[in-house]
Amino acid sequence: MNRGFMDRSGVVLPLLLICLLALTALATVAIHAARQEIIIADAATRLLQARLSAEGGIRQAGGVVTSDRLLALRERAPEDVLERATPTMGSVVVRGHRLPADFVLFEGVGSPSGGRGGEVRLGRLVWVLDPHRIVSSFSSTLVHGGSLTLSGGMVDGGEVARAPEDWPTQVCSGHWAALDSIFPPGGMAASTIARPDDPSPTDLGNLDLPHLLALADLVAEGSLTPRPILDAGACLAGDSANWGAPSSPEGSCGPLVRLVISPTSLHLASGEGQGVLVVAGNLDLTDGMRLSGIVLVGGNLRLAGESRIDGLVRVGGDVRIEGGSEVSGSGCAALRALESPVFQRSFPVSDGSWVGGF
Amino acid sequence: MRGVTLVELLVATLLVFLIAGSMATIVSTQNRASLWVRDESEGMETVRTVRVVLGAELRHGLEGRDWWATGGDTVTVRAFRGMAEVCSLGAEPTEFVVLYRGIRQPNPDKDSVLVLSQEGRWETRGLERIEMQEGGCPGVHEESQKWTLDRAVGRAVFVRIFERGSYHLADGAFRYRSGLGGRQPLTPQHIDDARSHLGASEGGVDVVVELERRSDARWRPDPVPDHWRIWPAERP
Repeated sequence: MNRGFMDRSGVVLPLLLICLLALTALATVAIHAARQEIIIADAATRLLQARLSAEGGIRQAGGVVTSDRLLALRERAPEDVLERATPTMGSVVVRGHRLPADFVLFEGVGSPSGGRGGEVRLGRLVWVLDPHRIVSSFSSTLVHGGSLTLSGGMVDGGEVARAPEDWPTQVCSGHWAALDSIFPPGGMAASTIARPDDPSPTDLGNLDLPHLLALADLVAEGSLTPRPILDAGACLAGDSANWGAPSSPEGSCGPLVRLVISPTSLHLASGEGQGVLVVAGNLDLTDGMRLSGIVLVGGNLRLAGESRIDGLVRVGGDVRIEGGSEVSGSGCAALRALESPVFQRSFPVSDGSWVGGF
Repeated sequence: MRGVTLVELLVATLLVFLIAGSMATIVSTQNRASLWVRDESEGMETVRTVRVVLGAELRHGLEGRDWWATGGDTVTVRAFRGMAEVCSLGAEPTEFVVLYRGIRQPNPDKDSVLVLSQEGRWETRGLERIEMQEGGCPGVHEESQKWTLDRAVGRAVFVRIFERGSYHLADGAFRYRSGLGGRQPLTPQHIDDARSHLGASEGGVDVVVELERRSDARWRPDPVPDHWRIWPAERP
């Protein structure tokens, strides 16, 4: 049966459907692209969160984890030393890996907030000052690079594992076991010429002079008379002239130890102080000046007028000890000097400490 | 017989043209919108890739040691790919046993090492040979490796492994060149080279990425250059 023209179905509907299909496809592509963009942007944000969490955690660990905690880590047995999480900026776990020679690798594993997304690992290499290793790096009580002249003075190196003569025994009671293991029976040599493999005279472990200068409690120059300063029996630690009281180790200024740096030369007269003293130039001690701790001198050292150092001394140049002055070896005084709070933390490797790509 | 008049035919033709024209306009607009979304998405992805990659490679390195910016469009890098804890020193002063971790295995053909000595100084050496070792690191179950370097090194504490590479804003894309190989694109070709820039600044890197203007899209806004600085995590 023939169908009439008006009976035939039209082409408009299929055409319309095809157009709608094309429109839907295009819209879907556009929506998909926009959605992908949002997902990728979100992933990039999370990656940044994780990376910053790792970096922030490592920085925080460097500030709050003490050197004792890090020195207690064992090699190839990493331990978590810090955990931190914030609702908006992700979370981090910092592990401490103990390496040889008192280095530690902080490994931060950062995750984005909400836990969705990958982890980012970042590391930072730090060095920790081990007081025992510092003390054991001295081959004698007085290590000197130039000549040694004794003119009515002396260097006493024997029985270095002892306290200064006028200190009560209990001041050093916590150090005896370590000192016995560091120093051979019978003590150490009074003085030796510096060997080629000895540290630079003004280095304290891996901390060189610029680094020490940045850490210093005090920067000293010229001629000074440090002394313990008390107010109503309380030690005024904030006074820059107060370098502690080695003559009264159990007094209120007895525990005060300083890290004092002199970028030039220094003259100390008729006073007392304790801690670590680093002098880039020459050091003169006169008029009964008394120091206790570790003394590092880049230039020459002169003691005169019954001055005295109890502890360990390293000098780059000549040493002259005269007029009843004395350098007396004391491992205990040296270890006490390293109890300064500035050494109770970790120090990033100065020539590039961050480690990525693992 | 029923038929159609000329008027009916004209009206129908007119309607078909009107509908078809409208549909064509809508499809064309949709198509342009879709292309715009795609281009914008690729543009943003391009900028993001430059940000993420350069940030990861440069932020924790040191200018002059780990990377160098040259020519306004190139940053040459030591691309660090892994690290190793030194377990023990070998029989020769060029050898040591390590525990390695990295984003890929070390390759003596293209990798060099940065060795941290006990004195806290980094020294650069070539990596000559790698041998796998069972039980080379006491107390650790992981497999260790014995590495041989081209020259002796002091008492090693820690080692980082790297390949030489360079990042470029060139030929319309952000590209990476590994060693002496070709420059491979990491992004689509949307970058306007002449207006984009890579340069050292205050220990970090100043980056300007401007996407190219599409000649076939008069109605789109001009691209705005992205300008940022990668600050070093460690100030020199």
